[in-house]
Amino acid sequence: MARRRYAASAALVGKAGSERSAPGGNAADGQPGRELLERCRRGDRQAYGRVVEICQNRVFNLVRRLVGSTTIAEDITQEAFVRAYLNIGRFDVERPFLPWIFRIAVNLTRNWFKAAARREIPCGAENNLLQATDGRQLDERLAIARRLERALLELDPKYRIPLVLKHVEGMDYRQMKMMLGVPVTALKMRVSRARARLRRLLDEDDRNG
Amino acid sequence: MKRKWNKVIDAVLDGELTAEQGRRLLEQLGAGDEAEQRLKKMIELAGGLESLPAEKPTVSLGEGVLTTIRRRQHLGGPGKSKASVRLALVAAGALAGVAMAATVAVPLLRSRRLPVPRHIDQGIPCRARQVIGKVELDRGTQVAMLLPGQKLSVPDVIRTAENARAEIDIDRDARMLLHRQSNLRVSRLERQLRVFTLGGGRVTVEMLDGGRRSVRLLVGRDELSAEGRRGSFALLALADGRTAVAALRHEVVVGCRGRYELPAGWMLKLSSGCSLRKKLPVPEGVKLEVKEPDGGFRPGRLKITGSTDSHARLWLNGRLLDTSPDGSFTVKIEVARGDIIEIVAVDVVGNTNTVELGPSRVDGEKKASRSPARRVRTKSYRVTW
Repeated sequence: MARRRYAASAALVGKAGSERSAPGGNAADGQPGRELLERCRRGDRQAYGRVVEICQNRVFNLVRRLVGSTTIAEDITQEAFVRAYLNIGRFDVERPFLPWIFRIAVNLTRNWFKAAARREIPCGAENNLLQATDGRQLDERLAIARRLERALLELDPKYRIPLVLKHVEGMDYRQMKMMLGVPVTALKMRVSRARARLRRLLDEDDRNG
Repeated sequence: MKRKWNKVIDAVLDGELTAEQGRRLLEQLGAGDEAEQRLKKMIELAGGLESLPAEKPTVSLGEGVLTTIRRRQHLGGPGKSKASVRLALVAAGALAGVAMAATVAVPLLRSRRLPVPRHIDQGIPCRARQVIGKVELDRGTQVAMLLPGQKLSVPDVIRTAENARAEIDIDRDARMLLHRQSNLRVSRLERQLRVFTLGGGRVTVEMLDGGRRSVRLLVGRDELSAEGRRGSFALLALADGRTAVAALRHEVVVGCRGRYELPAGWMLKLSSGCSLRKKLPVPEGVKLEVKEPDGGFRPGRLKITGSTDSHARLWLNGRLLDTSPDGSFTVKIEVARGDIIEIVAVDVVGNTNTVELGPSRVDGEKKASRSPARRVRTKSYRVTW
């Protein structure tokens, strides 16, 4: 069952790359090759080091968008890669690696959100620093991106995760369903609410200057 | 009506409709400029999210990932099934349990034979936790953590995977016994463990610490030659934080008939198949000298220096102290007024020696004055006759 679910997930990788990549892997599409993954399965740590190199930017980018902190994102990304390696025996090398590692990373991020809520850790603390910077001095596009990031971190993780998966990572709803275990209708509703809330936050920001 | 507009906008943003189709639908629904403006804004928002600059980690994570993996893989090799990893974890847990139970039980059993101060029993550290050294073993090695005097039994043995390398963390006070057939190779030893080599299967047994340090080795048919195979095998024992290494050939049979115990004061040295046993006198007492402070001490920071026998273990108010190989020690502590410091040295045969340090009277300090007499209130009356 798990394999079938994963197969569907793998087949629907949008931005994550649905095509099989070159044997050695390609850093540009963030997808390691089959040969490399087979070496990892045989216990070649150096090969896994190469896999980490290829995928780390994609995974980190996703986690960074979700947690809003570079250090925490690095920790979660590292943990995701460690867990992936320790369980690589369960990974089917015929399937793309990226959706699998994404799923581990998202699950770890969700756990982190839960732990942060329990310990009342402010999420996205680094972005308060961004708030302090003068947007006018920055490049306009960068300023817009930072405003968006800031607004994104205002969202509840329940809405933030599907929104980031949908619009930042370019996944479709079926794939998100496989990853998060939430029905498509619920995901559509969450993404729609997240967009509306994000728009409202940006409008409020505009009004406040 | 607004709900319908939102549905159309969501369909456009979810990629189910094109922007043009969405606009036409909104027109058909009679939506005005407001809906169209909203659609435009939402498309901009989605575009903004999609074009967020890609973030990269500040450092390459590969090294950290591999280091963490190496640290976590004490037991299982990569790609192992969950069941085997779980089994290995259960075995490790059981082994740790046995070690911890033995940690508690052995001093208690000893205490029957030889009464030792209670605080010593309590002060024995948890050996499974204090990791300070590391031994890397080559594949196929059998490893067991033992206390001196314990037998090595087959369930205690962790057999490393054939294609994997085992890394075992050794605590500062570990008792470890390693054995395997013929080609043991310890490739790396860190910290207080000393590097040794075994050359070409030849037999060399020596105490690396040398001298008079007593190390207890257990060699028995049921233990080291458990499988009854012929050939060479090796033994590494750490007793009282000190290292001893033995590589024996089966033919040499150093008292392998039954149990062989190297008592305190004995040194065993075998070279090229020849045996040499030299008996040293068993110590009747353990030395403990405190050089500093000479006499009492004042409250505040205190430095204590002294020496004991090289094989003795030292306890300060129930805490185990590190001693240098020659038995000397230095410790700095904070003492408060009225504290008493008790230093206990215990050697391997159980001899103890205790020194107590108490506060000294500070020169010029006044003796505590007596408490003032209670004042009694009186009343005076004029008495007339």
